[in-house]
Amino acid sequence: MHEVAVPRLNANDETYLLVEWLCAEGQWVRHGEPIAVVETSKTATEVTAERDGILHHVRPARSECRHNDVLALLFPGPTPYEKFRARRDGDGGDDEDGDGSVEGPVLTNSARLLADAHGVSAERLRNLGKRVIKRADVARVVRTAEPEPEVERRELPRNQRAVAEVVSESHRTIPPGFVAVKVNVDRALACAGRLAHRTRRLIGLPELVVKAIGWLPAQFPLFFVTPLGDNTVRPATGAHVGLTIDVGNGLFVPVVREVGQLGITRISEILLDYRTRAVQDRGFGPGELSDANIVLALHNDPDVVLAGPLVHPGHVCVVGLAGICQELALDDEGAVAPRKICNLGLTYDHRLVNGGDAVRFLRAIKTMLEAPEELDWEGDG
Amino acid sequence: MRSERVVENLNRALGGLLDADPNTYLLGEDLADPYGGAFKATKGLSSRYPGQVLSTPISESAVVGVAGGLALAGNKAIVEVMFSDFVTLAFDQIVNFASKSVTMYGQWVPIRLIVRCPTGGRRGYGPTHSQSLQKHFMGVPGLSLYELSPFRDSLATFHEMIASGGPCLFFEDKVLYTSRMYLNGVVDDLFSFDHLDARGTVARVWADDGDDPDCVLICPGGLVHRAVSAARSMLIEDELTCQILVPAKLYPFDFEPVLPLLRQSRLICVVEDSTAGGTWGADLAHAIHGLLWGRLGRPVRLVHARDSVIPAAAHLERSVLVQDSTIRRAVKESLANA
Repeated sequence: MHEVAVPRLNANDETYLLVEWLCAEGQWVRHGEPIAVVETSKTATEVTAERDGILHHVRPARSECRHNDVLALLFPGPTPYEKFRARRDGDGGDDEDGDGSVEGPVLTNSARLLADAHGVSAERLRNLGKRVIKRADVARVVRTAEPEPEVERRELPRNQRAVAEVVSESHRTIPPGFVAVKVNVDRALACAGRLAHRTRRLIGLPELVVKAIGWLPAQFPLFFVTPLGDNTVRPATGAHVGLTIDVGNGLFVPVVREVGQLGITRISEILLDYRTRAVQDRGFGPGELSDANIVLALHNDPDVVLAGPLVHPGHVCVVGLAGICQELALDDEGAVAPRKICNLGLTYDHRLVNGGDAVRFLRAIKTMLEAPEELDWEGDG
Repeated sequence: MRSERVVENLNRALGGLLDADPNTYLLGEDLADPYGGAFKATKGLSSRYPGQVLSTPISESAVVGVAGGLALAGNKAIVEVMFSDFVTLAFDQIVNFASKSVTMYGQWVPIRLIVRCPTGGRRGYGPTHSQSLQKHFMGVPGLSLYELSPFRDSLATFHEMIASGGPCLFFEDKVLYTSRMYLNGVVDDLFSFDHLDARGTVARVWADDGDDPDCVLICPGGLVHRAVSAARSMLIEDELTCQILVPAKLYPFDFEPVLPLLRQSRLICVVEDSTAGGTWGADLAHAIHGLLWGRLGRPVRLVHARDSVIPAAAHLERSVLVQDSTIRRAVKESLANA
């Protein structure tokens, strides 16, 4: 089989017009015989057969063609010609290789990739009734073709939905940094015991840490501000410490206001009240859950080594109190002795506070907890 | 039915003008049959209208001067400058005589003069037969600029120019001559077109109606094929939706029909064949910045030919003149910058 291509007839025209066929489909033509008339913008020219053969019209008369387009096929004899015709008719049409030459939508490259990957048929795409099919269109077809299996759905409790909203917002908007320090809590626990005995209140490490945070706004004002965006902040009026309380009835973050002005006794009363209400699932009023400017995340169950909670939107940092662990360490004489330690972590908004600031902040708490006897825990200032 | 070639449409339009009014004259070098003009736009016309179609000596200043005089005397005059590069020789007649004559006689005097300018490269004609000089005629009081478009019957554009009563330049991209007019809203298998105004002054080419376009390309008629090719590859390969606006009247520019579309687009890009510096596109961009300030997501992007004379060798010419790939690169670059 020989292909007759459209010759270069004119340097200026991009397309020519195939005016008419001079020889019929299936006719035997001789080398040099004119078979078609092609017209440029300037003149009409005859295209001749380049060898003897049986002619097949690839293009219809009155159609446009370009230089090098295949105009006709020449078969050396009736057998190959008939075979070609039979195969062609068997394919049932002129879109032999599905190259989109029949009317159909045009697919963008990424749409085609997706359609191929999921075996989406040309017919499905044609049925969309769109001329241009983008990736999103194919994605819709794929989704409807493979419906999600029916699964049982249960909505999260209201409280957890609120948590989800806050942590998602935090994750989306706050670029965090994290640092933790190890605190020797032997003396802090002893101090808490003495305070508890004297005041007949429940006083432990969380109460001491809350009180300690209350002493820090003067030295570390930036840890208590409210970020307002555009690199501006609203200064703080004091330490309002939110406490994460989760006793199995959901997570709540009630606030202890103006911690700097409260003694350890009052703080312990408030914490006990919050815990009791959480256990009894009595809930909190909206006023008790808002206006914190820093959060103490209580992860102080035994064997909790480290906690890195998320910074609440509107805050600069969150302090994470891990559980108390016993370890062996060398004492001043070089003898091995047991001691109790606790890791204190700080997650902070790195746009406002840097790692060095965070370490100084944690060390300030550490210093208070490691030498608690020097402080007036019961004072309200 | 097959559509006619652009040059056939132009020829028919010129014939229509000559036929409608015997006081219409067509002047230029080698216009008369059998040659019929360098690009065959006037083929057959001198035979049909022998007293109205006149071949002239090779002096653009003289030809435009005579035409200006005919127009001043109440006739309609059309000049073909064989290659628009040589319209510079008639600059004085156009700017200082024809354009000013409208207002310099104590009362408004119509000057029905059209200077046809076969323009642009991509045919290997070299530095002095390939330029696009539209920008040199911008902002001349009384002078209007139009461009040949495959979307608009040239007769309508000629009628509009004559009705304006002022001198007009009509830029005709030479490659466009042998391409086909677009009819019935069809550009190809992918793109359609319509007109944004009842008179058909601004054509809009679009593929994927529905979503707001990522980009609106504004280009004169000569750039239509390159713009459509760029829009096609951006749609297929980058999934970027472009609409193309093709104004028949370049200057003064009427923004009213196009503003609603411009407001919806993420990017506006003006494409032209001239080199950068004091161009039609820059003038358009400046006006759009003023009209849509505060709404634009990014500056209007301009695409020009390189700062160079136009080489004759095809591969060098391609590297200087705007190609479809130039447009696509510019649009993607602008859209990548927030």
